[in-house]
Amino acid sequence: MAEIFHRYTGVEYKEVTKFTVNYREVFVLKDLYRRMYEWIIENDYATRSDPDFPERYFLDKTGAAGKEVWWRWRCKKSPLPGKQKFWRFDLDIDCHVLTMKNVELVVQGKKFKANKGEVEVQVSAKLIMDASGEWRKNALLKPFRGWYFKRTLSKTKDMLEKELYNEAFEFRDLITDYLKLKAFIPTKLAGLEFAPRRTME
Amino acid sequence: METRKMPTIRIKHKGIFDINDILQGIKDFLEDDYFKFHFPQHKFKIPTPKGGEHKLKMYGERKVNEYVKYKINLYIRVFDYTEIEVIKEGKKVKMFNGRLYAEVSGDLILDFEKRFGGSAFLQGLQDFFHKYVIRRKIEDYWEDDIILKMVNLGKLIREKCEQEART
Repeated sequence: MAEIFHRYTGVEYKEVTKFTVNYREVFVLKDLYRRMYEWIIENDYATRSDPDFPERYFLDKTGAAGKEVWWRWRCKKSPLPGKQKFWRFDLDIDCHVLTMKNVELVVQGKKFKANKGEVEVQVSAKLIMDASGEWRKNALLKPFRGWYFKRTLSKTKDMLEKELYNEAFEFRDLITDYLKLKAFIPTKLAGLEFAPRRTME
Repeated sequence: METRKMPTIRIKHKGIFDINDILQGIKDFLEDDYFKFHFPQHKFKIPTPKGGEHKLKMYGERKVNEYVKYKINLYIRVFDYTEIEVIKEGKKVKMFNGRLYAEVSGDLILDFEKRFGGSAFLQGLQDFFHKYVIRRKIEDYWEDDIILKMVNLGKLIREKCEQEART
C-alpha cells in the first residue's frame, strides 16, 4: 500500500497546542495581517527581509459572495541561543477569510475603509526534537537516542514546551485583542495596548 | 568574515513625540561616538483618515580596529499619526501624535577586511583564532561594548519620547 509522507515523517515532535479563532464582523484585514506579521518578526520567527519570510501560500480570489483570502505561514525558530539546532519551535499559521466585502465606517466623524466577512485563524505549535537530524542519521548515536531523549533532555523539553505554549497563547491574545474578543494575558503585560484595534481607537 | 548578531531592542510608543528631534538625536549620538551615519531608506505613505506613515531605515558603522567593526541598525516606523502643535517651553512646536515603533539591532563584524576569506584552511584558522585566541576579547569586551551602545541609543529614543528610561 502506498505510504504517505509529510514533513514530520520520521521526526520526533510534540504538538504543544492547537487553536482556532473564528470571527465574523467588521474588521480591517490589512491591520490584522500587519499585526500578525509584526509579532512574527518581534519574536524572531522571521527577519524583515521579505524574500525570507515564511509565507508558503497566498490566495486572493474574488467570487460572487465576496473575496476569499488564504495565507499560510510556516514559521520556525531555534529557541536556545547559539549554534544549537537540536530544538526547534514550529508555528503553523493558516488564515482563511471568507465572503469579505469592502465597507465604509464612520468613526468620530471620519470615514474609514474596512472589511466585512469571516476570518478564521488556525494555529498549531509544535516542538521539534533533534531538528538537525544528527541523532537520527548517525548510526553510532541512533541506538542511544531514546534513552538520551528520555533521561537527559526531559527537563529541557518541559521548559521549552511551556515556553512555546506561552508564545502560542501570546499570539492568540494578539489576535483576540485586535478583534476585541476575550484575551487572557493582561494587555499591558503583553504590550498589546500599543497596537491599533479593529475599532480604530 | 563573521557577523555576530546582537539581541534586538524594541521600543513601542503611543502618544506625542517629535520625530525630527528623535532623528537628529540618533544622528548626533552615532556621530559623537565616531560612527558613520547612513540613511538608506525613507518611505512615506499618503495619509489615510487614520493618519500618515513613515518607514525609516538607518545604520551607523564604526571600525574599532583593523579586524573588528560595529554596525548598529535602526528601523523606525511611525504610523497612524497626525501633526499637532504643542507649546513647549513657551514656543509653538509641530509634533506628531501617533504610534512609533523602533528596533535597534547590532552586528559585530569580525574580519571585515576578509583576511581569512578564501581557502578552507584559512577558514579553519579563523575558527581557531575566534574560539581560542580572542574569544574572551570578543565575548567580554566587543560584544558588551556594542550592546552598551545599543542600550544607550534605545534609552535616548525613550527619553526623546519622554518615556521612562529602563536600562
